[in-house]
Amino acid sequence: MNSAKVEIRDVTKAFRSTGGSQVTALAGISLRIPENEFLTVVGPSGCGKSTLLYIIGGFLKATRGEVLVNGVPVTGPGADRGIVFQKYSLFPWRTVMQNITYGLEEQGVPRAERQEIARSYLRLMRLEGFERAYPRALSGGMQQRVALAQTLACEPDIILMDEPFGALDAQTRKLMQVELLRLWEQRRTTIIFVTHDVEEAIYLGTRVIVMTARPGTVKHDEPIALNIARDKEDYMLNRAFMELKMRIWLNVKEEVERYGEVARS
Amino acid sequence: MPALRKIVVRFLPLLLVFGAWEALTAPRLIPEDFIPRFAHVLRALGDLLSSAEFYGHAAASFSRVFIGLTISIIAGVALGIGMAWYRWVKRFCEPLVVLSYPIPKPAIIPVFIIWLGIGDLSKIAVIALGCVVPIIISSYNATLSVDRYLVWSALSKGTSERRLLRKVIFPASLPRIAVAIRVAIAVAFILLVSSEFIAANTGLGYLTFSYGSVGSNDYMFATIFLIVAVGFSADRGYAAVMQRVLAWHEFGEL
Amino acid sequence: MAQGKPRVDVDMASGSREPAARRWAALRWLAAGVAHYFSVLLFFGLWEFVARSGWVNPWVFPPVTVSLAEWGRSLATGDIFHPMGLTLLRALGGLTMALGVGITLGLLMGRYRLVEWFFEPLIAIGFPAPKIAFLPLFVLWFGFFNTAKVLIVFTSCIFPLTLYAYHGARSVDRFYLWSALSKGSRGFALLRKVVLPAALPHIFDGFQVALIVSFIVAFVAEMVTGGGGLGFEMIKAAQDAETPRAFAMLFTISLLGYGTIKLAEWLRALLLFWHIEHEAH
Repeated sequence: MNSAKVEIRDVTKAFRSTGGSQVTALAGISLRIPENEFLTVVGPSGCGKSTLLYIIGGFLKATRGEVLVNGVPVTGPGADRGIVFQKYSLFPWRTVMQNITYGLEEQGVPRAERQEIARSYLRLMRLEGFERAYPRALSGGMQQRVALAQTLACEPDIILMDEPFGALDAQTRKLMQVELLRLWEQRRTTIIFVTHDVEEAIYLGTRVIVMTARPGTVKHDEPIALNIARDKEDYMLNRAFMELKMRIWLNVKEEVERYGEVARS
Repeated sequence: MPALRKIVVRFLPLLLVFGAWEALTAPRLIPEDFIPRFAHVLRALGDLLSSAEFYGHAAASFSRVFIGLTISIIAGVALGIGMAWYRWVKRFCEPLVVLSYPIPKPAIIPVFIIWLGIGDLSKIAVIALGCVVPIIISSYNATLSVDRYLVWSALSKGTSERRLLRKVIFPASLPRIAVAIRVAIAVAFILLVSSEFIAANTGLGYLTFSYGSVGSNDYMFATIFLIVAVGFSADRGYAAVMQRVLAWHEFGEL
Repeated sequence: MAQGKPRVDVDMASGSREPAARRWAALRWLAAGVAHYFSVLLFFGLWEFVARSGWVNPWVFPPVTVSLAEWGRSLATGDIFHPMGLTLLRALGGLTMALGVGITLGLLMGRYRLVEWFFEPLIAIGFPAPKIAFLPLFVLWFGFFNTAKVLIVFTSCIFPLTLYAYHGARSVDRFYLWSALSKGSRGFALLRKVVLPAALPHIFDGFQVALIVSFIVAFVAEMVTGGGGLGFEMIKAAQDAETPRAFAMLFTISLLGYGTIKLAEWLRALLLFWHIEHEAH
């Protein structure tokens, strides 16, 4: 298995806290993420899962170790890795249409062509009729659909998602999950998806990673091989699903409790 | 005509005040040299608005504010963003900004009169210098507080560090800079009127005092009203323009 | 504003070290200070150099050291304290009156429709307008001494104070009001016990604006109409070709400006500690 899409080699991240003491957020993480994988990362809050994502994105530098994308070390942000944040991914001064064309504009795609590409993503994300609206006029779910369209329009090799549905209400979140899954099944773009919701992680991912409390390492790594149709409503009631969910949750719970002790000490 | 009715109801208090004024001054309950009749002030207002002399003074005042503000906006935004972006600009400018911040701006009027005389130049310089400091500070703070996720989002879509300033930092800071400019407009009018009161031979402030010194109180009142009206309209006009320019953002009503 | 302080941790750590090391640390501290205030030193240095070079008329552009010496002299002999006292009296007198009237009016506007209907357009027009333009009127009515100056300060300060108090009263969370109403508070008690404290952060914003306005207006009024005070002294010095003295006045008024800004910040921290805690959640 030489063709890892993303390879994380012994990545450690330490930074100085506001109090001045040294904090180790990530301690020697190594991972291989093959092409077409939908990797979900769960862990207690503050375990460094977002930090790992930002290092892959090239926004933060690892204290030690390196990240390879297609065998090339990451030195900074690039259009090959699209990212969707929980909030603030959209430029508030640009309309929906202008937000979606942003990346194409930056890559020098001619105007007519980028309009056409943007229009196809507008349709894909069911945003027709909102081309000229500004982000503040949209609901949270709509905003995240635009953010997804904005990222997809750049046709990135890898999509990084940092709790993208974390700020949405329960119903909208569910619908967005279905939509994301539909999209991934069509295109099979490599996705690294960070969340603190175990059910979301199992439902979306082809492989789930549980991270330990700070300093973050990989605690549990499990491929999701449930041979059932995920578009069915009773998916969540499936016995295999529930067992899996319980197993993953117990792993996370242990870390949440341990983190509580770490925080108190 | 519900819209018209709304306007009338809203501004009725103003009419009541003017009505009370006329009612008290018309039968000479208050001596004319203390408060002139409202009707006479209106007559003076009409006279002023149809005299070429008035427009000469108004043009002098307007050009001073316009040039002074333009200089302060361009310099202030450039320096503020520069301070946030380049370390050396910050190291050089920050102590000077911190030092000049607490100076009450009209206090520099006499100094500039000594240096630059009582003509346009001293007034433009006072306005430019008085307005530049708050604009620098707001632009600096606005630039620094741009959300890092917006910056990251742009970087991950192929925006280079060099283009970041124009594509993300500047538009994201614009709402706060726009508020600072609104404050600067109010400050500019205070500085204009003050400096024209202190020493000038043209301008609306000068006109007010020259009417006062010859006892034409009705004309003095009329000039004051016009200054107030111009200051008010400049503020509202600016706010209206900004509400359109920053349609993506909620531009505050205060 | 984030202000990079000269590093002092080196010095603090060296308490038990050799005197030579301590001297070295002190020197480094000094060097850091010079580096930090480089531009200010350059500015004053250039000023001094140009003024002493003979290129410019010393009446127009006296060396900064001469102005500073004049400032020191006026502070030492105490002859600056009388005009300073006058300016302070006018600024703070007008401000105090405006505080009482403005806050009351603003809160009433926020709670009573009729008061709001009458005053809202007047305040909305007056707030952005340059009130200093009314100065000749006040001179006409009240002459050249304290009354006119205190009243123009009052007139200038009342607009920000009223407007901010009004916005504060209007933005009081209705659940606070409902809670107080259900416990029997009515009328004036409701205003004093619930609306006033809840609107206090807004009121304080208005106070900070008004404080600066009061000094500016008092100073301008003194410059324009005379009658003593720092503004008058500054204009007089400029007219009498005593430029160093004019600069000494500028330094004094700047120091006062700095003092009032700091005082307002200190008062805010003192009075609004609960608000900051409230926001932290």
